[in-house]
Amino acid sequence: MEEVIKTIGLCKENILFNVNFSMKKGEMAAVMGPSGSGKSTLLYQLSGMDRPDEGEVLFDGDNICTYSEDKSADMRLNKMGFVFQQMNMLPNLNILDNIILPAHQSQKTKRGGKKSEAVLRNEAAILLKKVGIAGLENRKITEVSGGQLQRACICRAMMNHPELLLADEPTGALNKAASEEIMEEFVRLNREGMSVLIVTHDSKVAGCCDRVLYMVDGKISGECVLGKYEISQKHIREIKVSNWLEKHGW
Amino acid sequence: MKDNIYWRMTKESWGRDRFSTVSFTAFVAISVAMISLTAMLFANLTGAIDHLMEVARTPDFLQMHAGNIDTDKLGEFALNRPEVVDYQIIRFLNLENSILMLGEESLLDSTQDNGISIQGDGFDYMVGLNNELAIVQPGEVYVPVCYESMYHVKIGDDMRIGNRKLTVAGFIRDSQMNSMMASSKRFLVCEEDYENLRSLGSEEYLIEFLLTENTDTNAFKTAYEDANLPMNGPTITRPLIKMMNTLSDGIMIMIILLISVLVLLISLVCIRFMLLTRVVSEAGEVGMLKAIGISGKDIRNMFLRRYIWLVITGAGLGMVISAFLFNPLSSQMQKLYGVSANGFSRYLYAVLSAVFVGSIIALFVLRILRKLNEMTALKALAGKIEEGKKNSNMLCIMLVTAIAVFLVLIPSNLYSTLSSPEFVTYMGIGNAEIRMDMRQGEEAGEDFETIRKALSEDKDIKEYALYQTSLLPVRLADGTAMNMLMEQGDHRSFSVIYSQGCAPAREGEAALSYLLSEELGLYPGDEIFVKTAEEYEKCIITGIYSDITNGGKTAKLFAEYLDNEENVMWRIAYVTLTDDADREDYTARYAAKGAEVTDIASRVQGTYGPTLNQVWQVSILVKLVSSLIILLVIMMFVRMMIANRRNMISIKKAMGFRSLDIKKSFWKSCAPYTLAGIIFGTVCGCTLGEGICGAALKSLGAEGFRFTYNMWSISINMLVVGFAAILAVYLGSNGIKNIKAVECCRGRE
Repeated sequence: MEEVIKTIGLCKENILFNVNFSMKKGEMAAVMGPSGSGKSTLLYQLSGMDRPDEGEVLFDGDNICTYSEDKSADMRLNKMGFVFQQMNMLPNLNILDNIILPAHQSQKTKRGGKKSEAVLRNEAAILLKKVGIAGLENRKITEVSGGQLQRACICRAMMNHPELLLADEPTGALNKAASEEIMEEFVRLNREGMSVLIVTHDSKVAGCCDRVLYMVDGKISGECVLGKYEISQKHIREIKVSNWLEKHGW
Repeated sequence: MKDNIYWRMTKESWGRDRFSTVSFTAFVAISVAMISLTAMLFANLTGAIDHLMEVARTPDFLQMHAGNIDTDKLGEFALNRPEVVDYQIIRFLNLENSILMLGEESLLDSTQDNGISIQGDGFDYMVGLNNELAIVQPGEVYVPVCYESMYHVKIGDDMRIGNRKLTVAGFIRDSQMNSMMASSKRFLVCEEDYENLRSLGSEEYLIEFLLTENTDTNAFKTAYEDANLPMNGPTITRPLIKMMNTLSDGIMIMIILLISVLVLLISLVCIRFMLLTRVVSEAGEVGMLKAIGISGKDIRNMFLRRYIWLVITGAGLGMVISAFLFNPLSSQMQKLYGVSANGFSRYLYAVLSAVFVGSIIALFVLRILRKLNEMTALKALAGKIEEGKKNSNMLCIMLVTAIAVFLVLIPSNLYSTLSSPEFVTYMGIGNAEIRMDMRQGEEAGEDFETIRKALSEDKDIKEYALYQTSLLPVRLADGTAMNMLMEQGDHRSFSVIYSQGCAPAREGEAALSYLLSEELGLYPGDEIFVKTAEEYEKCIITGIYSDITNGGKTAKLFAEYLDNEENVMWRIAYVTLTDDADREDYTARYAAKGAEVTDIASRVQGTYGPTLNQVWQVSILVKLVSSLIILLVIMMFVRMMIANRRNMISIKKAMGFRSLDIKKSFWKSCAPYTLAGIIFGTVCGCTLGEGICGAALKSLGAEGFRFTYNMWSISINMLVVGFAAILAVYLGSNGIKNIKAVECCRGRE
């Protein structure tokens, strides 16, 4: 992301201001900051859901700001996964159908070697097992807990094997135990080679990442490099992040 | 059906909002049913008339004639005209209605000129109810099919003509005179019986010609007139016969078509509102789908898939409904004209119209769903999609109310107009109480003088005017010569409707009928030269009037005093009696003097009676259907508006508002729009509706059509629609009481 500026409203109030930010393949990063600092907006620019007023957003060397709506959608479908704080599952589908929906759509646009729905269901079942919610396939989204639903969301984001997983406050609506389970899941996925960018308020969540960025008033104000996560260093990393935040008065 | 995820999503979406699903399907079904029914009725009517005219071999040109006939001269004319394929002279024995009895019922009150005739030789056949050639045996009679229900006649009944008795052997379709709008009816007898009955009536001739295809009948008519052949009576052409046949049932089809178009319009308005409401309520899901990378086009297709299936289901349902409605609505026309030779065509029409309406709705849905493209993932996720301005929802209520009022007013105003005494003026008949016909015969001149004298001295008469119609040679300014059917007299009294200019008021002035004026390109201020005596005299055209009689091509010439000329074809008098005059005595006195005295109101009732009844039935049906539409549509709108504002209503309740308070504010906001809809619909129904009906009647020669308003009827219609709208708002707003205050705090339970 280079010199990105994003404004809103008639007064052109800056939401992002000359933001420069990059991530390597296989990296896991967190973005922290107070409400209204532009964290989620940053995520939206990166996913192509929104476009900056100025600057460039490069993904695999391509400026995605020049993409058409459909091309952006295609990129999100096949190369990115998105996990929302409010889950945003379709209420009219059960857990399994919600998970396979993006994969199904992706298969539709493929020219050859399409996977059948049965194959997709199998793959989804494996993912559900991996995240520890096997057996909930046919439940409605109102019939599972918040943590279970968020894990189902991760499965949905994983179905098309994305290169980059974007998560907007993924643990914001969860209790402590569920949050830990979800973060373990993110770490596991990152170890398998997936890049992960998480927007969070929680220093525990940030402590699981290789790098933490802090945003204030639409600018990246600081960066804390933690290195690769080890479960044994869980508390030390959390304290390190807290101290770093405290040191800067954040 | 593949049980894939999209199909499951589609099915689930139908189940989630059953009210919208059922309403959408119902709107499609009603729209398709109406248009498809119109198409089927139209296909059947035109197909049946064409088939009847084909099997009956209807003549292309027909000249009625009363008086002597020179068959040799006619034969010579026919032989020398290359366009004549065949010709024949059919005898028609005109019988007094007073001597005719069908079963137990007398034809005394009939406004038709009834008579007997024999079967045509090579063409102009009268056919049975299976369109087979009717073969009549001695002692038998075939009765015009329209009399079957009118006089409750059955096969085997007796028909009395004076003191002679014939047995009804069947019913006939007469391709020429089937329509109640044709003023004569032919009973079919065998030649032997015809000769036996000849002394009971006066004989007329139908001189009929079959012409080669694409012959210009107007040119042929001029040639016929120039040849100085018998022509004491009206001239009728094949297109006129077809038009008369189509008109009576055509009016009903036209009204149904108009209603169909308006119902389709209402359906589209409702569908738009339903879809937009749905899109807004599912904005979060749309946002999520966009966020996970599903393109706008694919999301639109997901939505479209839901509605396409509903369109297909609705269209199928609509076709079934139209098939059920077809038989009761087409029974009269099937009786009169039979069925179309190509029965398949009406199903083809039905399917094509269903596909047409279905496609319009599908394209409309597709267009509305474009709104999905305007929703960005972010806006949708954040729930920042506009619910649609309150005013636009209210405008929908106004529009639907206006369309419903419009719908109700058209047949209602048409009925008031057709049944008003002034309507006769469109038929080229003056607005008088009595019309007296003095046909030409051997003693016509004497009768005329006697009647003229009697009229001038009659104390029972409030006002009268005499007219005589002659075929006069006319030369146009460019030198074109032609013969024109001209009615001479003082046209200022008992005036017909003039769409342009006014009645001729002095010698040297004339007026033309609308169709004649259009054909010749002559308008007020133009000149024509009319040969009334030895010389051609210049006449200024002063006005254009409506006339749907005699093919609609006539002229009126001012004449202060009518000479007793020999070439007069017929003479008439319009009379209005004083209030205390004895009508029966008057009729008897003038009938004895050789005049045919007709009460104009009953003449109109006789001619337009069945059509008036149909229009009346349709107007009642439309009132019921429109009220139902108003009730359902407005109720649906209000329910959806409440659903859209559920959160706001919940917040209000949490703040302490009672359900009734919120309902009242709803009623108050709906009332002005409903009222505006009623007023707007009334104005459109009286102006635009007049234009639509006027355009239809214009093609028949009734130029300058104006509705005759019945304020009572208009007020009642407005009240009915207004009551339906108020009831709908009241019932629709009842849902407010089910919204709980706690919803805004913890969501719906």
